[in-house]
Amino acid sequence: MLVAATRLTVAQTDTKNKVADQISELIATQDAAVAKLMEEVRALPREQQREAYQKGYPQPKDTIDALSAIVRKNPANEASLKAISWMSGRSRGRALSPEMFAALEEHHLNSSELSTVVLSLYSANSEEAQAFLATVVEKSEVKEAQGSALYVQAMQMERDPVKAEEYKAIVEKLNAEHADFEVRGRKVAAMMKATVEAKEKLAIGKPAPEIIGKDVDGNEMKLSDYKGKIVVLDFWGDW
Amino acid sequence: MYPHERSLVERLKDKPFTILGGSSDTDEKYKKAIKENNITWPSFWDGGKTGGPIAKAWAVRGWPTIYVIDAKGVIRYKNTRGKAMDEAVDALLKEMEGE
Repeated sequence: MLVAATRLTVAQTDTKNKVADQISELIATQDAAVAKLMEEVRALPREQQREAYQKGYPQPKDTIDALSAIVRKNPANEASLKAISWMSGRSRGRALSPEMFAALEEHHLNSSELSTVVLSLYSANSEEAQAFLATVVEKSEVKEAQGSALYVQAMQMERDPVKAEEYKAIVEKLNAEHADFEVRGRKVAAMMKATVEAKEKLAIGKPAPEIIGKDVDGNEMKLSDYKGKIVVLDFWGDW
Repeated sequence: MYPHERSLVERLKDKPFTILGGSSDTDEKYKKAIKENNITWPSFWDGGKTGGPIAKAWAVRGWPTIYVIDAKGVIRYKNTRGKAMDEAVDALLKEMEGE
């Protein structure tokens, strides 16, 4: 019995490693193809680079299909999370099928690597992606992943006026529970809150905040100097 | 965009109306832009880089960002460009004449 059990464990470990190897190899092959193309493109004259890159880009579809098949068979494998993360990163979350989200929810909700996948979902607005983000916020025990999911939810709502209230609620929650959460080294909760407050102050119907500034020659000018006139305040840049 | 705004300023030169610019350009680029585009209206200079204090206070995250403010100092329209900008200003002028 004991021998049989040991054998079984060995067999399981073998499968586990085999899955990890297969995933690594698929990813490495595709990444190497992209790296090779980049090298060739860089050798070309500048004006030809863009077209050559677009023309020669090795489409990741086959790799994504192969990785998805492996994940479907081995959803709990740690390497499956790596595969999902890679697919998501290459497609801004759009290449993830519902089964990939199911694998994440069932087996990887408390992985310390989960936030990488979550952050790559900012333009994935499928129902599954939305449901997945909500699940992470509710159920993940990894604070970083929760913060990432709230942040991505907020980013997706930011430009949707219909969701302004929902957006505000998420920014509040981020500030209350994830004040230290950082994206690329920046504490985003406070930044988002400042933007929300600025936007409220600058809503249509609100009094224009005073501007006291200077023109480029150093002459002082104020917005209130123009009271009694209609003002088009026009922030421009010439680049 | 400058030609359009120039024509607006020209058309409304006798009306209670002005454009105020806000520039995040560097000193030299700002001066050059004003000269080359014949910008006749005043502009705040926001310290020569993006994210200056005025841009920050006015939540400027892209260019152009436009606010139309009425004669009483109330924000009335946002990010109206081209024809919509003319219509917004005309509507406010009409409102003033009616009072």
